[in-house]
Amino acid sequence: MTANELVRVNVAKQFSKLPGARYIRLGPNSGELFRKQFLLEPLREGKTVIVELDGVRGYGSSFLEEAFGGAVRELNLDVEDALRRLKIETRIESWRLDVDEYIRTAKDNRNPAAA
Amino acid sequence: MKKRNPKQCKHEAWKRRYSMRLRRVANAPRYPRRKRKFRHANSSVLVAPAYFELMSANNGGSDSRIDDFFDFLNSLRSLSTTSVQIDMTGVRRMAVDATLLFKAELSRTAQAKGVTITAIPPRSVRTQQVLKQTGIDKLLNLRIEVLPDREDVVHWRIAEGPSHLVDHNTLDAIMADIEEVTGMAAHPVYQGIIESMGNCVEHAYKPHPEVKRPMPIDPGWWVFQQVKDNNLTVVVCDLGIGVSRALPLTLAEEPSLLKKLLHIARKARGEDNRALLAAMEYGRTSTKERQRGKGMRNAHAVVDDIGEGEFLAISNRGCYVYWRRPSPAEPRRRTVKLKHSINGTILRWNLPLQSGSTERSA
Repeated sequence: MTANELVRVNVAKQFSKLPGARYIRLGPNSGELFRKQFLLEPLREGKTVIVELDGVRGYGSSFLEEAFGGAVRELNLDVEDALRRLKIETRIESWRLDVDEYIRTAKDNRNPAAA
Repeated sequence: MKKRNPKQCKHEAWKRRYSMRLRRVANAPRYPRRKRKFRHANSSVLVAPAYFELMSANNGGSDSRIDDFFDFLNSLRSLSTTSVQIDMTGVRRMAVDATLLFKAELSRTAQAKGVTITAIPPRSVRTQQVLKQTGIDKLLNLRIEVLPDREDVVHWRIAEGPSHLVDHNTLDAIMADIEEVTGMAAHPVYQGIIESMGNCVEHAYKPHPEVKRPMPIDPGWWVFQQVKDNNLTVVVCDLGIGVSRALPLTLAEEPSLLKKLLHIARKARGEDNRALLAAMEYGRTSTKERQRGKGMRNAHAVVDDIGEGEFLAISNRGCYVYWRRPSPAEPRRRTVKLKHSINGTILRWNLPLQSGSTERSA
């Protein structure tokens, strides 16, 4: 495995067309579950993850924050490194901007998953 | 023969009389009259008002129709009998948010208090169709034969789920219907609904010393969607403790932040409105420090993404309204103190079907 290897994830096809809430304890298809299933391992191995967001019914901000911001917190990633290796593909610009914001502000947050 | 003392004789005579009386009661025929009396003592009859409305046209709460609706709802909430018959004969108009609240209260009455509910069917065919379409007929144990076919009824959709779980699968039918009428596969209202459900599961049913009423478990939240007059209306309801009680619990470890938020909202009338404004402010400012409390920011984003529409939050006696007309008008907001408490929280979006941002339809 090389650091430049790409992993592609399509949320609608591989996870759910109906993304759920923030934590696993709140219900199925949560942002926390998505992070654990699709983001943590490749990021830990130094890979780049391309996440295709389109094809779903929508996202709550809790889902996106817990998935992407949570990955930055859990792996203690450098923000610039995370922005470089977590790539978003979507035709809905506001989703891409939201994810960028969550990655940039992830370290400002206390980890609420401990609740 | 052994001689008995008078006291012993007296006791034996009493025993004979008493056992005879017990036998008489046990073998007594059960007269219909006695049965009727028993049934009457444990059942109630409630007459539903003609109009199911939470607010008058000016968003206040002083209309006599609203008083009638809440009188009826309060009677349902305070039932102390084991069965109730609801006379729906005269019900003529059912607004979507009031109907949802009625369904929620019926559900709580049946599941948490164990009350058996029966009903006299409504005369209005439209009301019959609404009851059938929303599943309220089943809660009322009513058999309604008429099939919903009216244009203003067939687009009502319902979803409900347990108070401890955000069950997104229940939203599939609602979102498919929204796609059918708007042509948008990913609609901004999804984020509002899913965040509201998350808030409900996390905060609405926390134990609170001031709230003694039984809380519903399954279902614990309800979602209605309606398409009418080229408008999409989505309503999310819970019967929890309300924002004014939940917010201090959520911010229990940050009393200075809570104080600051309530200070910002100090000019609003009523504790519930101050808490609603504080919750909105918490969602708006939280990006600087933390990602929690964004549910209300998502709720506003639904309207902002579409470009016009209205978002309304009612919590107990508080009512917050945020609306936006087509650009370049700035969004506006206001609060209204309601006369009656809804004993829970309702979030409602009214969105035009043909308007605004096309970004989400991509």
